[in-house]
Amino acid sequence: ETLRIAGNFAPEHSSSKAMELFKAEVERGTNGALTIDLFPGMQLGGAKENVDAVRSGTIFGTWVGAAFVSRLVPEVEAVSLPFLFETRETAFQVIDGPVGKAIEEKLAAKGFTPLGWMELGQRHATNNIRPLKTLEDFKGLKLRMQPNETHLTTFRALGANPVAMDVKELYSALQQGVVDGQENPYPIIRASRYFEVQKYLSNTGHFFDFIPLVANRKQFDALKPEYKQAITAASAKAVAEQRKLAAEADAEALKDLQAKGMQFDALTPETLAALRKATSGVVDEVKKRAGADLVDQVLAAAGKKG
Amino acid sequence: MSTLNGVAAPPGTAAAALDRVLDGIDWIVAKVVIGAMIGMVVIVSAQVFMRYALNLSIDWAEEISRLLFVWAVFLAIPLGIRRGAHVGMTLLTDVIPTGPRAGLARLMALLGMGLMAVVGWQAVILTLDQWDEPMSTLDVSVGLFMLPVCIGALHGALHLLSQALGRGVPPGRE
Amino acid sequence: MSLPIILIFMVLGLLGMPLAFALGFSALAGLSLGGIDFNMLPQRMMHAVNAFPLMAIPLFMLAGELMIRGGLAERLIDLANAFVGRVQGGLAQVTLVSGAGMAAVSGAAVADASALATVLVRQLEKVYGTGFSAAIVAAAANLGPVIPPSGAMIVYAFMAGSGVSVAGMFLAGVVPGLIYCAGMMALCWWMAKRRGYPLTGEPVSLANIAYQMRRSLVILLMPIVVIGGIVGGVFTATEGAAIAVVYALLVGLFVTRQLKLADLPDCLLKAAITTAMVGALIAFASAVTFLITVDLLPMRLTAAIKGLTTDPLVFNLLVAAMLFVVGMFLESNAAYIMLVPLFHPIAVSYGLDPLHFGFLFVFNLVLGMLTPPVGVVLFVVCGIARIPMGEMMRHLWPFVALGFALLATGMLFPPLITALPHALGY
Ligand code: NA
Ligand code: NA
Repeated sequence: ETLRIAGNFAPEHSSSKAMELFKAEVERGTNGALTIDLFPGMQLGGAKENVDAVRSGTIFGTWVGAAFVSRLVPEVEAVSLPFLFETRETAFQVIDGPVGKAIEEKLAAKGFTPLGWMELGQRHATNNIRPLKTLEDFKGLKLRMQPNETHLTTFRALGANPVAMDVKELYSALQQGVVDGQENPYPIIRASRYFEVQKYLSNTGHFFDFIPLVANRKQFDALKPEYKQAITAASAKAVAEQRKLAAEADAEALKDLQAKGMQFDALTPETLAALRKATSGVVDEVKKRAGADLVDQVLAAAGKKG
Repeated sequence: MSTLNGVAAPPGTAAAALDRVLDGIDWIVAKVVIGAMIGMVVIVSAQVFMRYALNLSIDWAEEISRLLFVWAVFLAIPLGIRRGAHVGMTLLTDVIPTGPRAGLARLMALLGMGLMAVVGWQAVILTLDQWDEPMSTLDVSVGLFMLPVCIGALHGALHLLSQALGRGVPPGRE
Repeated sequence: MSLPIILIFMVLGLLGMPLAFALGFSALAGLSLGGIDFNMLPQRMMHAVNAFPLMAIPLFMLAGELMIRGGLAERLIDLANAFVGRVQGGLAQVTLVSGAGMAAVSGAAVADASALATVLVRQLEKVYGTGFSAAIVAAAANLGPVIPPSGAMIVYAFMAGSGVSVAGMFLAGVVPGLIYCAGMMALCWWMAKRRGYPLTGEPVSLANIAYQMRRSLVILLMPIVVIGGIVGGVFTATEGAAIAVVYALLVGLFVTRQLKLADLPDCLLKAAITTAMVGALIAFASAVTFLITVDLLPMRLTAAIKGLTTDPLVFNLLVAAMLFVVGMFLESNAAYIMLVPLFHPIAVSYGLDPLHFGFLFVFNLVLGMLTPPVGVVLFVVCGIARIPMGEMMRHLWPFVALGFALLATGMLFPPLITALPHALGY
């Protein structure tokens, strides 16, 4: 039997590499009875389409940025609050704990079987106008954002002018100055070659993004128990490996972006505190969609509030 | 008496009734397509103006103009069937005699109708499945993206049925 | 399952089913064979069309349509006449220059062909006879997708993915487009002289040039505003298309005053239906692409081609030869949609410049619109001029041959194509 799993990350991305390990582990664990065909790099459509395809059962699974399931399962937004996780370790602790379980139940209710949470990483802002060192530096910047309410509200709260734009037009838009900047994790900034058209980089780390690996629930449940077990075991291994690779890739990408000529300005703890304070109102917005209890639980687990 | 595809159907027949229904649907659909096109132009140019002149951006401009584009395309597909706008190869059909050629065209229309019916029906199921999910930037259903596929495919199936009943136009020329 | 899919598509296509539906039907067969749920079809179709950059296609088409109805095209022709009307083959030269002018604002050859044919064919016929007149209109209209903006380039960049920018492709077309126009004018001059066509047009007068310049200044500004706005960072390529529409609308309503609000619904509907034709192809073809990707065909095809040659130039030649044949038989949009996702990644793996390869690809299929038996520009011009295709081809082939000679030159000297986009940072 062949299971098809698609993703929108490039084949070189840590998540795609980890999926290669997943494939090998599943095929080994089932003595080749299950074959996994992987389609990274949008071969089977963009992220939203992959999610739809898994939900309707056209493909078995996908690994995708958490933002693309957050409209279907708004509880995901609880772990996407601005300036929530200071370290990746905290993020994993929260998602691997009771909060993660609660979100996974919601995903299951919408027809997905969550197999694990990989790291997309901290998102950082780049731009062409000025180095981002203080809260004031965000004022009036035209930053391209994902069309996500939390993201847009956060940057409005910082004084920036977020612009929703198709990612296909982003490189040219940055190059020609249609927008001033964008925000992404370091490895994505490097892979998309935005360093060629962007001058300034700061470790704003405004959001931490996960990459959930999800399968179609009906198809997963229909598998033999020993196959399910093989898949679960392979997911655990792949996720652990990815988190290691992602940490390395993140550090390496930052170094490389500087080597490629971007000016990097690390934010001071005072600035980070100011950014956090300016965006504190976003929490109430998210509570409306993701549920106040869950958000409070997340804040407590992340050590942000008692 | 309706004159769909340039040929009048004999009055009182099923074909004539179908043509009348199609005339009505086409008229409404054309209005919706024109509205969607106007909406696209207005939203996209308003977004440019806002961003350039006022340094503001409309959050939903990109998503809603895409939505209008999807509506315009899928709703205009059946109108294109009526006008024979969908390109095809006439290499073989040009050299065979008129009688068999007309029969072949009707057979192809019948197959096309089957395809459109399957697409339309599956799109109905998907639309209902997705109705609970909101769009990225507005709290309206993401199912609105799939809805025009249902309408366009089922409307297209009716046009192909009309052609299969012998009222076809040759494909590939407008 | 790839083989049955391709076979079913070819059989249905040959039997005269519109190509979009033939693709859809073969996808349906592929879904049955592969045991994949039929709901993949509408899902894939919707997502394939649900793309912001594709919106530029109806918008540039609409801008062209508004130019014709608003009398902007006629002013452009008057201006061309003031400059080259007295040259050997004068009215034919006017047609070529007007074609280049139309090309700088409209994105499609079909719109340009119908504009030029409607306005110029009757006058041309009086001097040169029907065959040459129709041929010159077809040749001039074909500059439409070569000189930016270009619907074909938008489709190409879209199918190639984020590695190819629309603006970069646009700029790649500028120099070859102008060379092609100049080359055709020289060819036209020589043919007119050899065939002893009479001189036409009024003698060149500075006063007339100044008058015509003043009349068409507002139209000459249009490509500067639109292309300049894209390159200068005021708006993206897609947004530029909407700006072109607004510009053409305002000029037609308030400057030439030939456009009536009552004309608008028809223009909008026409642009939408032509786009729906492209949209249906994109939608159904993307289902086929999904199936052959799942079947791992692109991987095997890449391996096979790489086994054949390691030389990028040989690869380029192979692609050009294939596209020449494809261009004879297939509608060009269908060809981009099916072939770009397969060949663009291979070209990149050969180390070819994506803009160089992309322009050659587009130019080849644009010339295919002039090669029988299937050529959409041939159909339109023959339809309006009411002549058989054979008669037109007798006069048209030197212009097509010139195009392929330019294609070969561009293949051997990449800077001809890439120097301008590279200089501007693409
Ligand atoms: Na053009
Ligand atoms: Na051709």
